[in-house]
Amino acid sequence: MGLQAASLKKEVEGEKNRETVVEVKHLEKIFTTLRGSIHALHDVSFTVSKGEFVTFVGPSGCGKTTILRIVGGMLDKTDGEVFIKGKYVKESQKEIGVIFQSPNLLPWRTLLKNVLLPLEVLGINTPENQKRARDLIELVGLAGFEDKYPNELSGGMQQRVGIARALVHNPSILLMDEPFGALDAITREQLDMEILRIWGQAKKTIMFVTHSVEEAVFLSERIIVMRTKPGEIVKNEIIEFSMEERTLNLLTDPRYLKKTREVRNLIGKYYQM
Amino acid sequence: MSEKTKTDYFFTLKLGEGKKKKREKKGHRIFTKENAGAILIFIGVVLTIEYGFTFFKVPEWIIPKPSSIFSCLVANFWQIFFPQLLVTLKELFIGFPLGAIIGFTVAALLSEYKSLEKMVVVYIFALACTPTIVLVPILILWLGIGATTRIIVVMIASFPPLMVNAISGFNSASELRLDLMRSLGATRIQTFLKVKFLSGLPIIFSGLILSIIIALITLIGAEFLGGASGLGYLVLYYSSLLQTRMSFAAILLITALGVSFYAIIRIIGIKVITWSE
Repeated sequence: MGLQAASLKKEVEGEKNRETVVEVKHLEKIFTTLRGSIHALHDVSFTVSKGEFVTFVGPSGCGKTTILRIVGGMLDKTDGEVFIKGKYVKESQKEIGVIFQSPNLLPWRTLLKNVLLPLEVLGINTPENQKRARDLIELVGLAGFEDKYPNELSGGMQQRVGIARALVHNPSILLMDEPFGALDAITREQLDMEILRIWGQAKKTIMFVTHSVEEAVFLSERIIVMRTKPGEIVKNEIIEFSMEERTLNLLTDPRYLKKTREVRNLIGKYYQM
Repeated sequence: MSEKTKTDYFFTLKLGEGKKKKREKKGHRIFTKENAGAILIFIGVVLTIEYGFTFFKVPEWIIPKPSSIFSCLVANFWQIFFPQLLVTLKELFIGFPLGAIIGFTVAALLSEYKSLEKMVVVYIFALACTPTIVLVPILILWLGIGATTRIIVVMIASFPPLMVNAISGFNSASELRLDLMRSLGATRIQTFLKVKFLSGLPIIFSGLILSIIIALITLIGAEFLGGASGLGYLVLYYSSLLQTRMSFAAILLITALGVSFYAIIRIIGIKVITWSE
């Protein structure tokens, strides 16, 4: 076990050995509103390697969601460069799947139709891909509910549909913006485990945004800590737990508690106003 | 039940109404206290006018008896009323779809091109607030008295209410839904058809109801102002002859028209919008 943790650490540290999939250089974002301009992101640079699980943590307004929206092609940047697998964001959208803050399902579509939406938009709604959609629905435990409408499903079930939808076009990068924030603690833990399972099995690269330090330490290999006004990266923190260790038991492990305290202190240092 | 909530209910299509109604209908009763009350009010008013006004010797040319209005309507329906009803219907059936298509298209363009919307929003407000009936004398001057003029009147009257509603409908699509489409690199048309149009559908149906009723009002006004056909003309013509019964019969038909259009669009809306947010 210890050996595995060490090897994981080595792998994470030796980022150059792993293929870089997301590259962000000197990213700037200024929002102009009627009341003036807000400097949301200042000189943000980072890379994410293939198969890495990176979490962005910081207080609200630090720009972590803004980073995700820019990387996902949902928002235009003010300055800087963003590459996904060496290409511009607009050219690489097939590589990206997004899981949103709320399930964000379209209420006029059935569960299956919601999952098929990315295939329709990307023009790859083939029989094989439809089969894949059904498999994914089964994977997230919703087989038999294909013809239900979103308002007939519980919040947790809706978010599972959101997960299946984000995976249906087989993207290599998953962006998640506080995906389970609105759910109750138990459902949230279940879905966190589900995400870990998908990450472990399908070898996705994951960029995850949360304001929960516990969730960040539990899930990710690396935490990028941010501060606000302007939004900046203050620290890259490596988390060394192996895949096998990341079970619900970890939540009471002293090493986990120690790590959470460290990250929490780190954040605290930058938020004394 | 205030006037306000009642009118709101009248024009607003609640989301998912159709579906909920279906579920509730199993235990739905037609013979409620309220329905019985509504019928009693109707009978009361009719009887009061029928016998009360006769008792007080109110002349027939001021307020005719309901029974004579009805018999008048039945006796003259095929010869007098039906042909004029067809005239009014024809003008509505050509003018309204044209107006609706224009309203919908302009709304789609404006909601897609935000800077264009900002440029013309003032004029849209002005247009939506102007009673289009004021244009009738001018149109008569340009095009003469005839069906074409009235079809154009209907068209002009029906497009602003629908346009205004459709714009707010398209704009009601949440930022999160638009983000979903952006994250997939969707084209403008894909985003419009798959998200903006459907998000706005309930508001668009309210707009359709408003616009057909405004179109009917304006058309009847136009028939008052020029021409020698249509139900509006009948009302005016028979009042001038003091044949009040005939006028009232025509008014009844106009009311029936308005209510039918309202009901038809509302039912279509409830059938189409089966989801709830």
